[in-house]
Amino acid sequence: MSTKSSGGMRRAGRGRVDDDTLLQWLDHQPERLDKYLSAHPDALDRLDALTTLSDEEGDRIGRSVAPPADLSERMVEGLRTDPSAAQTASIVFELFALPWRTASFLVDPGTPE
Amino acid sequence: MSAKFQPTDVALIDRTVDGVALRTQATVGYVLDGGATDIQVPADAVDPNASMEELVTVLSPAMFRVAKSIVGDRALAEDVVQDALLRVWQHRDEYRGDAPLKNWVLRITHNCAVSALRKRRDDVRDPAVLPEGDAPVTADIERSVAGKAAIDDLWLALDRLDEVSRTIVVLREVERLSYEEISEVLNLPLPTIKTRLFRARRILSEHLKEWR
Repeated sequence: MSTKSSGGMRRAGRGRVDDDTLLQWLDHQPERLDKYLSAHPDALDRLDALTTLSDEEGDRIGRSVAPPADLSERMVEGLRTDPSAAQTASIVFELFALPWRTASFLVDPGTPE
Repeated sequence: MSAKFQPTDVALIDRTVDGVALRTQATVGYVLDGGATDIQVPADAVDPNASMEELVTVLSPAMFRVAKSIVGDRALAEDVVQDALLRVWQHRDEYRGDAPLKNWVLRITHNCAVSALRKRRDDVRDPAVLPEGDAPVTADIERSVAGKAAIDDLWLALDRLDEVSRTIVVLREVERLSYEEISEVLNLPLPTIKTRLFRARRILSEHLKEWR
Protein backbone atom coordinates (compact mmCIF):
# COMPACT_ATOMS: atom_id res chain seq x y z
CA MET A 1 0.00 0.00 0.00
CA SER A 2 1.27 3.45 -0.89
CA THR A 3 2.02 5.99 1.77
CA LYS A 4 2.32 9.70 1.14
CA SER A 5 5.41 11.43 2.43
CA SER A 6 6.43 15.07 2.48
CA GLY A 7 6.55 16.90 -0.84
CA GLY A 8 3.75 14.87 -2.37
CA MET A 9 6.00 11.93 -3.13
CA ARG A 10 4.26 8.60 -2.83
CA ARG A 11 6.20 5.58 -1.73
CA ALA A 12 5.09 2.04 -2.37
CA GLY A 13 7.12 0.36 0.33
CA ARG A 14 10.85 -0.19 0.98
CA GLY A 15 11.78 3.12 -0.66
CA ARG A 16 9.99 2.28 -3.89
CA VAL A 17 8.15 5.30 -5.31
CA ASP A 18 4.92 4.95 -7.24
CA ASP A 19 4.53 5.38 -10.99
CA ASP A 20 3.18 8.93 -10.89
CA THR A 21 6.16 10.10 -8.88
CA LEU A 22 8.55 8.39 -11.26
CA LEU A 23 6.95 10.12 -14.23
CA GLN A 24 6.97 13.48 -12.48
CA TRP A 25 10.66 13.13 -11.78
CA LEU A 26 11.24 12.08 -15.37
CA ASP A 27 9.47 15.20 -16.62
CA HIS A 28 10.61 17.79 -14.13
CA GLN A 29 13.29 16.54 -11.78
CA PRO A 30 15.93 14.63 -13.75
CA GLU A 31 18.58 14.90 -11.05
CA ARG A 32 16.24 13.39 -8.49
CA LEU A 33 15.33 10.63 -10.92
CA ASP A 34 18.97 9.86 -11.63
CA LYS A 35 19.68 9.59 -7.93
CA TYR A 36 16.76 7.25 -7.45
CA LEU A 37 17.70 5.12 -10.45
CA SER A 38 21.21 4.67 -9.17
CA ALA A 39 19.73 2.94 -6.12
CA HIS A 40 16.80 1.31 -7.94
CA PRO A 41 17.94 0.38 -11.46
CA ASP A 42 14.88 -1.83 -11.90
CA ALA A 43 12.81 1.36 -12.08
CA LEU A 44 14.12 1.80 -15.63
CA ASP A 45 11.99 -1.13 -16.70
CA ARG A 46 8.96 0.44 -15.07
CA LEU A 47 9.60 3.71 -16.86
CA ASP A 48 10.03 1.83 -20.12
CA ALA A 49 6.60 0.27 -19.71
CA LEU A 50 5.02 3.52 -18.56
CA THR A 51 6.25 5.51 -21.55
CA THR A 52 5.91 2.93 -24.33
CA LEU A 53 4.52 4.44 -27.52
CA SER A 54 1.81 2.78 -29.53
CA ASP A 55 2.51 1.23 -32.92
CA GLU A 56 0.61 4.11 -34.52
CA GLU A 57 2.82 6.65 -32.78
CA GLY A 58 5.90 4.75 -33.88
CA ASP A 59 4.65 4.76 -37.45
CA ARG A 60 4.15 8.50 -37.35
CA ILE A 61 7.67 9.03 -36.08
CA GLY A 62 8.93 6.86 -38.93
CA ARG A 63 7.01 8.93 -41.47
CA SER A 64 8.49 12.15 -40.12
CA VAL A 65 12.01 11.01 -41.00
CA ALA A 66 11.12 8.97 -44.08
CA PRO A 67 13.61 9.12 -46.96
CA PRO A 68 12.60 10.07 -50.49
CA ALA A 69 11.44 7.10 -52.53
CA ASP A 70 14.33 7.28 -54.98
CA LEU A 71 17.03 7.72 -52.35
CA SER A 72 18.79 4.41 -52.96
CA GLU A 73 18.98 4.89 -56.71
CA ARG A 74 20.37 8.38 -56.35
CA MET A 75 22.90 7.26 -53.76
CA VAL A 76 24.14 4.49 -56.06
CA GLU A 77 24.43 6.94 -58.94
CA GLY A 78 26.07 9.50 -56.71
CA LEU A 79 28.71 7.04 -55.57
CA ARG A 80 29.50 6.18 -59.14
CA THR A 81 29.81 9.74 -60.37
CA ASP A 82 30.82 11.89 -57.40
CA PRO A 83 33.87 13.83 -58.68
CA SER A 84 34.93 14.70 -55.14
CA ALA A 85 35.55 11.03 -54.48
CA ALA A 86 36.84 10.02 -57.87
CA GLN A 87 39.25 7.37 -56.74
CA THR A 88 36.84 5.75 -54.33
CA ALA A 89 34.01 6.06 -56.79
CA SER A 90 36.02 4.30 -59.49
CA ILE A 91 36.75 1.45 -57.11
CA VAL A 92 33.12 1.23 -56.24
CA PHE A 93 32.20 1.28 -59.89
CA GLU A 94 34.45 -1.67 -60.70
CA LEU A 95 33.49 -3.78 -57.75
CA PHE A 96 29.99 -2.63 -57.12
CA ALA A 97 28.45 -5.98 -57.90
CA LEU A 98 30.85 -8.04 -55.80
CA PRO A 99 30.36 -8.94 -52.18
CA TRP A 100 31.79 -5.90 -50.47
CA ARG A 101 34.09 -7.76 -48.12
CA THR A 102 35.31 -9.96 -50.93
CA ALA A 103 35.91 -6.86 -53.02
CA SER A 104 38.00 -5.64 -50.15
CA PHE A 105 40.43 -8.49 -50.70
CA LEU A 106 40.68 -7.75 -54.39
CA VAL A 107 41.28 -4.06 -53.86
CA ASP A 108 43.86 -4.64 -51.15
CA PRO A 109 45.82 -7.69 -52.29
CA GLY A 110 48.58 -6.84 -49.86
CA THR A 111 46.88 -8.60 -47.01
CA PRO A 112 49.65 -9.59 -44.58
CA GLU A 113 50.77 -13.15 -44.73
CA MET B 1 50.65 -15.90 -38.30
CA SER B 2 50.06 -16.38 -41.96
CA ALA B 3 46.71 -15.46 -43.41
CA LYS B 4 44.85 -18.12 -45.37
CA PHE B 5 42.62 -17.47 -48.31
CA GLN B 6 39.45 -19.45 -48.80
CA PRO B 7 38.28 -19.30 -52.41
CA THR B 8 34.54 -19.33 -52.75
CA ASP B 9 33.69 -18.14 -56.24
CA VAL B 10 34.92 -16.77 -59.53
CA ALA B 11 34.05 -13.18 -60.34
CA LEU B 12 34.06 -11.43 -63.68
CA ILE B 13 35.03 -7.77 -63.57
CA ASP B 14 34.12 -5.67 -66.59
CA ARG B 15 36.14 -2.54 -67.15
CA THR B 16 37.12 -0.21 -69.97
CA VAL B 17 40.72 0.79 -70.56
CA ASP B 18 41.42 3.34 -73.29
CA GLY B 19 38.07 2.62 -74.84
CA VAL B 20 38.60 -1.13 -74.92
CA ALA B 21 36.20 -3.28 -72.97
CA LEU B 22 38.00 -5.84 -70.84
CA ARG B 23 36.71 -8.66 -68.71
CA THR B 24 38.92 -9.88 -65.89
CA GLN B 25 38.36 -13.19 -64.17
CA ALA B 26 39.33 -13.39 -60.54
CA THR B 27 38.97 -15.94 -57.80
CA VAL B 28 37.29 -14.37 -54.84
CA GLY B 29 36.70 -15.49 -51.32
CA TYR B 30 37.50 -14.69 -47.74
CA VAL B 31 40.70 -14.07 -45.89
CA LEU B 32 40.74 -16.39 -42.92
CA ASP B 33 42.07 -14.50 -39.95
CA GLY B 34 43.15 -17.09 -37.43
CA GLY B 35 40.35 -19.31 -38.56
CA ALA B 36 37.73 -16.89 -37.28
CA THR B 37 35.42 -16.51 -40.22
CA ASP B 38 32.06 -16.74 -38.53
CA ILE B 39 30.25 -13.44 -38.50
CA GLN B 40 27.34 -13.24 -36.10
CA VAL B 41 24.62 -11.36 -37.88
CA PRO B 42 21.06 -11.26 -36.58
CA ALA B 43 18.34 -12.33 -38.94
CA ASP B 44 17.21 -8.77 -39.49
CA ALA B 45 20.68 -7.49 -40.26
CA VAL B 46 22.25 -7.00 -43.63
CA ASP B 47 24.13 -9.90 -45.13
CA PRO B 48 27.85 -9.08 -44.97
CA ASN B 49 28.20 -10.90 -48.27
CA ALA B 50 25.88 -8.45 -49.96
CA SER B 51 27.33 -6.42 -52.78
CA MET B 52 28.00 -2.75 -52.21
CA GLU B 53 25.03 -1.93 -54.40
CA GLU B 54 22.77 -4.14 -52.29
CA LEU B 55 24.21 -2.60 -49.18
CA VAL B 56 23.37 0.88 -50.43
CA THR B 57 19.87 -0.18 -51.39
CA VAL B 58 19.09 -1.87 -48.11
CA LEU B 59 20.81 0.47 -45.69
CA SER B 60 20.47 3.95 -47.15
CA PRO B 61 16.89 4.47 -45.89
CA ALA B 62 17.93 3.75 -42.30
CA MET B 63 21.01 5.88 -42.77
CA PHE B 64 18.82 8.73 -43.99
CA ARG B 65 16.51 8.47 -40.99
CA VAL B 66 19.44 8.66 -38.58
CA ALA B 67 21.04 11.50 -40.52
CA LYS B 68 17.82 13.50 -40.65
CA SER B 69 17.21 12.99 -36.95
CA ILE B 70 20.52 14.73 -36.31
CA VAL B 71 20.81 17.43 -38.97
CA GLY B 72 17.10 18.08 -39.39
CA ASP B 73 17.37 19.04 -43.04
CA ARG B 74 16.51 16.58 -45.81
CA ALA B 75 19.04 17.81 -48.35
CA LEU B 76 21.84 17.82 -45.81
CA ALA B 77 20.75 14.37 -44.62
CA GLU B 78 21.19 13.05 -48.17
CA ASP B 79 24.67 14.55 -48.32
CA VAL B 80 25.44 12.85 -45.03
CA VAL B 81 24.26 9.48 -46.35
CA GLN B 82 26.47 9.76 -49.42
CA ASP B 83 29.45 10.79 -47.33
CA ALA B 84 28.80 7.95 -44.93
CA LEU B 85 28.55 5.41 -47.74
CA LEU B 86 31.92 6.48 -49.04
CA ARG B 87 33.38 6.12 -45.57
CA VAL B 88 31.81 2.69 -45.20
CA TRP B 89 33.58 1.66 -48.35
CA GLN B 90 36.88 3.28 -47.39
CA HIS B 91 36.84 1.73 -43.92
CA ARG B 92 35.32 -1.63 -44.82
CA ASP B 93 38.39 -3.48 -43.55
CA GLU B 94 37.69 -2.16 -40.06
CA TYR B 95 34.40 -4.04 -39.85
CA ARG B 96 35.17 -7.20 -37.91
CA GLY B 97 31.75 -8.75 -37.76
CA ASP B 98 31.47 -8.57 -33.98
CA ALA B 99 28.41 -6.32 -34.32
CA PRO B 100 25.63 -6.32 -36.91
CA LEU B 101 26.71 -4.63 -40.11
CA LYS B 102 23.73 -2.30 -39.94
CA ASN B 103 24.79 -0.98 -36.54
CA TRP B 104 28.34 -0.38 -37.73
CA VAL B 105 27.05 1.54 -40.73
CA LEU B 106 24.66 3.56 -38.58
CA ARG B 107 27.49 4.50 -36.27
CA ILE B 108 29.49 5.84 -39.21
CA THR B 109 26.38 7.68 -40.38
CA HIS B 110 25.93 9.21 -36.94
CA ASN B 111 29.52 10.41 -36.92
CA CYS B 112 29.17 11.90 -40.39
CA ALA B 113 25.97 13.67 -39.40
CA VAL B 114 27.55 15.14 -36.29
CA SER B 115 30.45 16.39 -38.43
CA ALA B 116 28.04 17.93 -40.91
CA LEU B 117 26.16 19.62 -38.11
CA ARG B 118 29.39 21.01 -36.70
CA LYS B 119 30.27 22.51 -40.05
CA ARG B 120 26.87 24.10 -40.29
CA ARG B 121 26.88 25.65 -36.85
CA ASP B 122 29.21 28.42 -35.83
CA ASP B 123 28.93 27.74 -32.13
CA VAL B 124 28.63 24.01 -32.35
CA ARG B 125 29.06 21.77 -29.35
CA ASP B 126 29.27 18.02 -29.29
CA PRO B 127 25.68 16.71 -29.51
CA ALA B 128 26.72 13.84 -27.29
CA VAL B 129 27.04 16.26 -24.39
CA LEU B 130 24.31 18.70 -25.32
CA PRO B 131 21.88 19.24 -22.50
CA GLU B 132 18.40 18.03 -23.20
CA GLY B 133 16.03 20.72 -24.38
CA ASP B 134 18.81 22.62 -26.10
CA ALA B 135 17.84 24.78 -29.03
CA PRO B 136 16.81 22.40 -31.81
CA VAL B 137 17.67 22.61 -35.45
CA THR B 138 15.01 24.67 -37.14
CA ALA B 139 13.19 23.32 -40.13
CA ASP B 140 11.82 26.58 -41.43
CA ILE B 141 11.95 25.59 -45.07
CA GLU B 142 10.10 22.37 -44.51
CA ARG B 143 7.54 24.13 -42.36
CA SER B 144 6.80 26.75 -44.98
CA VAL B 145 6.56 24.25 -47.80
CA ALA B 146 4.77 21.41 -46.19
CA GLY B 147 2.68 23.43 -43.74
CA LYS B 148 0.31 21.42 -41.66
CA ALA B 149 1.45 18.19 -43.26
CA ALA B 150 4.82 18.70 -41.67
CA ILE B 151 3.18 19.40 -38.35
CA ASP B 152 1.08 16.29 -38.69
CA ASP B 153 4.06 14.14 -39.55
CA LEU B 154 5.45 14.80 -36.11
CA TRP B 155 8.65 16.43 -37.19
CA LEU B 156 7.90 19.57 -35.23
CA ALA B 157 7.57 17.49 -32.10
CA LEU B 158 10.85 15.77 -32.82
CA ASP B 159 12.37 19.17 -33.46
CA ARG B 160 11.66 20.07 -29.84
CA LEU B 161 14.14 17.44 -28.78
CA ASP B 162 17.89 17.73 -28.85
CA GLU B 163 19.71 15.81 -31.57
CA VAL B 164 20.79 12.96 -29.35
CA SER B 165 17.27 12.31 -28.09
CA ARG B 166 15.87 12.47 -31.62
CA THR B 167 18.40 9.93 -32.78
CA ILE B 168 17.69 7.65 -29.85
CA VAL B 169 13.97 7.82 -30.65
CA VAL B 170 14.56 6.93 -34.29
CA LEU B 171 16.96 4.09 -33.50
CA ARG B 172 14.54 2.58 -30.97
CA GLU B 173 11.06 3.32 -32.30
CA VAL B 174 11.78 3.11 -36.02
CA GLU B 175 14.90 0.98 -36.47
CA ARG B 176 13.99 -1.23 -33.50
CA LEU B 177 17.51 -1.47 -32.18
CA SER B 178 17.97 -2.80 -28.67
CA TYR B 179 19.09 -0.42 -25.95
CA GLU B 180 22.48 -2.09 -25.94
CA GLU B 181 22.82 -1.61 -29.69
CA ILE B 182 21.84 2.05 -29.42
CA SER B 183 24.44 2.47 -26.71
CA GLU B 184 27.07 1.07 -29.05
CA VAL B 185 26.00 3.13 -32.05
CA LEU B 186 25.96 6.41 -30.13
CA ASN B 187 28.72 5.54 -27.69
CA LEU B 188 26.63 6.62 -24.73
CA PRO B 189 25.96 4.85 -21.41
CA LEU B 190 22.91 2.62 -21.27
CA PRO B 191 21.11 4.56 -18.49
CA THR B 192 21.56 7.77 -20.48
CA ILE B 193 20.03 6.13 -23.53
CA LYS B 194 17.03 4.96 -21.53
CA THR B 195 16.27 8.12 -19.58
CA ARG B 196 16.59 10.28 -22.70
CA LEU B 197 14.32 7.94 -24.64
CA PHE B 198 11.68 7.82 -21.91
CA ARG B 199 11.70 11.61 -21.55
CA ALA B 200 11.49 12.03 -25.32
CA ARG B 201 8.55 9.63 -25.48
CA ARG B 202 6.68 11.74 -22.94
CA ILE B 203 7.25 14.90 -24.96
CA LEU B 204 6.21 13.23 -28.20
CA SER B 205 3.19 11.64 -26.64
CA GLU B 206 2.01 15.00 -25.29
CA HIS B 207 2.43 16.52 -28.71
CA LEU B 208 0.44 13.75 -30.33
CA LYS B 209 -2.42 14.32 -27.90
CA GLU B 210 -2.52 17.99 -28.91
CA TRP B 211 -3.04 17.06 -32.54
CA ARG B 212 -5.67 14.41 -32.07
